[in-house]
Amino acid sequence: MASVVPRKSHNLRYKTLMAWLFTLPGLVVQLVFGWLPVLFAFVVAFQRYYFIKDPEYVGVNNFKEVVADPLVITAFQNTLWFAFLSVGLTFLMPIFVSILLMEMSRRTIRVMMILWFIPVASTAGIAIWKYMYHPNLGLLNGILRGLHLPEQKWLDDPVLAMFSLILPGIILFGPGLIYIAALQNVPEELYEAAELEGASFWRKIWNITLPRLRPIIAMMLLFSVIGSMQVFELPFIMTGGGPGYATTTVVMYIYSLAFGAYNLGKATALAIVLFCAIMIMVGFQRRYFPENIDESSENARS
Amino acid sequence: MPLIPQVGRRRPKTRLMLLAIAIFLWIGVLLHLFPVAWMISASFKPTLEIFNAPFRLIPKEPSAASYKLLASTVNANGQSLNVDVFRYPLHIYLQNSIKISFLTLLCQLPITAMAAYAVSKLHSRRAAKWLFYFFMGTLMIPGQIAIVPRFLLLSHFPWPTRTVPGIPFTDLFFPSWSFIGTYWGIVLPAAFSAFNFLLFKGFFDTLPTELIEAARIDGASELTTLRAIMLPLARPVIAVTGYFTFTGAWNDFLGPWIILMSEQQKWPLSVALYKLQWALTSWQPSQGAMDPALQTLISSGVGYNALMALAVVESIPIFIAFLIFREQLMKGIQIAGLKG
Repeated sequence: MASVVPRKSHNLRYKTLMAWLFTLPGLVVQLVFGWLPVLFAFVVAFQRYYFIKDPEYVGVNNFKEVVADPLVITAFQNTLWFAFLSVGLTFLMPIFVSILLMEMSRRTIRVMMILWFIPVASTAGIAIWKYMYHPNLGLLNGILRGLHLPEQKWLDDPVLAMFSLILPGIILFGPGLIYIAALQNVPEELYEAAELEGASFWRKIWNITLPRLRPIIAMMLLFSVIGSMQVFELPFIMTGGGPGYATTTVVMYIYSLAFGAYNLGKATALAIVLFCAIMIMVGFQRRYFPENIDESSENARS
Repeated sequence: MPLIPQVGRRRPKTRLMLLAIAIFLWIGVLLHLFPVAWMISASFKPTLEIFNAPFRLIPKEPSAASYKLLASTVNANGQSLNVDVFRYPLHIYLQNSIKISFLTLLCQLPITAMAAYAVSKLHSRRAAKWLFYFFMGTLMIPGQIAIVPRFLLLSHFPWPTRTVPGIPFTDLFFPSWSFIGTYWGIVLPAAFSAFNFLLFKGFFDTLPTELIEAARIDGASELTTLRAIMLPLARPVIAVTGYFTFTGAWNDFLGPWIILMSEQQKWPLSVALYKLQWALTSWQPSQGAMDPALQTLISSGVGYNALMALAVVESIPIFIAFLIFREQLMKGIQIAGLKG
């Protein structure tokens, strides 16, 4: 038996070595491109930093400039308004559609899902809508004209512009992949039991389906809030932040500070402020909309 | 699982309800398909029709003129168009998009899969826990915070400073590489994906450890185990992650826009499309005289038909990817959903 022991430890060492070898490339990439820039952001934000000059440490000066900048306030207002509209008007629909989709036969679900998930490249999708919104040639004003309704300036209207960014998301409603996957794991016995007790269709959704989906809904809500607070490409391509600054979001302003004004320090300081704002929102959400299903059903019962 | 039990489905009230649901869902499907149809239709309209009969779904006189225009760099008069996009023909941008997407795919999938496999099956419990936080932590941090530092890092890798530091006591500088203006500036930061790591790890966690131990007893090396046993089993997950990675890289706009800004011959389709759209929409009647470049553009027949043609070309490859991975996607989504 004595010969087994060193062999085993050799095996263990070999296994550990292989484990780290397999991990190494990912580790390096994640360290260098994942963590290093985040840490370095906290260095850049405290420096006066332009491409042409050597950076110098200026304390919280950049943050003072950020707070005093009226455009920052505008950008934050726009971003919050976008996040509110986007989450408020487009978040619930995929859940609802996914639940309804489950009522169809397996074949219909398959056909619908394939048609629903036919992809269009993202900038192409934005360009289509830009064309739809065109004041003279666009389809939307064409429809309004046909119905003898007043035509709109859509993306050129300061008030309507932000709403126009959300509208495609409202019109193109559809199911969510992640909800479909989750719905397939709801045990059928639960529905059968409810059926025997005479629960109506909507009651079953409210009392069985939604509580079951709660962890995933909470997670998706978190991601969609974080995502909509960081929106960039949609307004950048659709409106360029205009008309005026009506659709300039925080990330667009970060971009223009960094690559338009070349003020890297201020841009990064603004990025950190945005980061803190998002983290506060995440904290609130975790508190008032916890993922834990048991906790919430406890509360509901008492 | 359906809410309405199969037995009760023949009652008239229930049937009416199911019909209503079906109609609602089909409206959703049609609304989804319509913009795609509109894009294809507009791309085949001659320019005159775009202006004179803008609201017909089926073009009166379909023409492939806008595709031809995009494929060439000169207009009818034999002159180059004074608009960025037309400095290079369409196939250059298409090639660039393909290069970027496949490079990303080739770098990201093996690196991410190997790391996920090691964390799931090879590391000690303690190491696995820490590595998991290390790999997943960035998913919780908004990525935009790192735009500027990442740009600095890529401009003289691996130094995230403004200039390359000198080696002390010498006149020499540390070695550095500039990835700005190269594909590596886009591909390297994407060489690991926390999201795909989660999908891979979730999948490897479901495989029994005995499988690996059996292979080890048979004398297989770790690499052989991964290649010959794990990867064939992981095909649905590879399909899903591969599809997401490919479409993600194909759709990426901000990365190429920042990194490849000054290298037009390397632009992917997403950037080219943005540039063309910008040229078409930047002019407003209120601004007075039209930019001469735009005038050339419009007089040579470029309008929204060309923009939509470019959008069609940009969408075709990911549509093909969707067709190829359709079945695997439908299967894989259930796996992703279980663990995601």
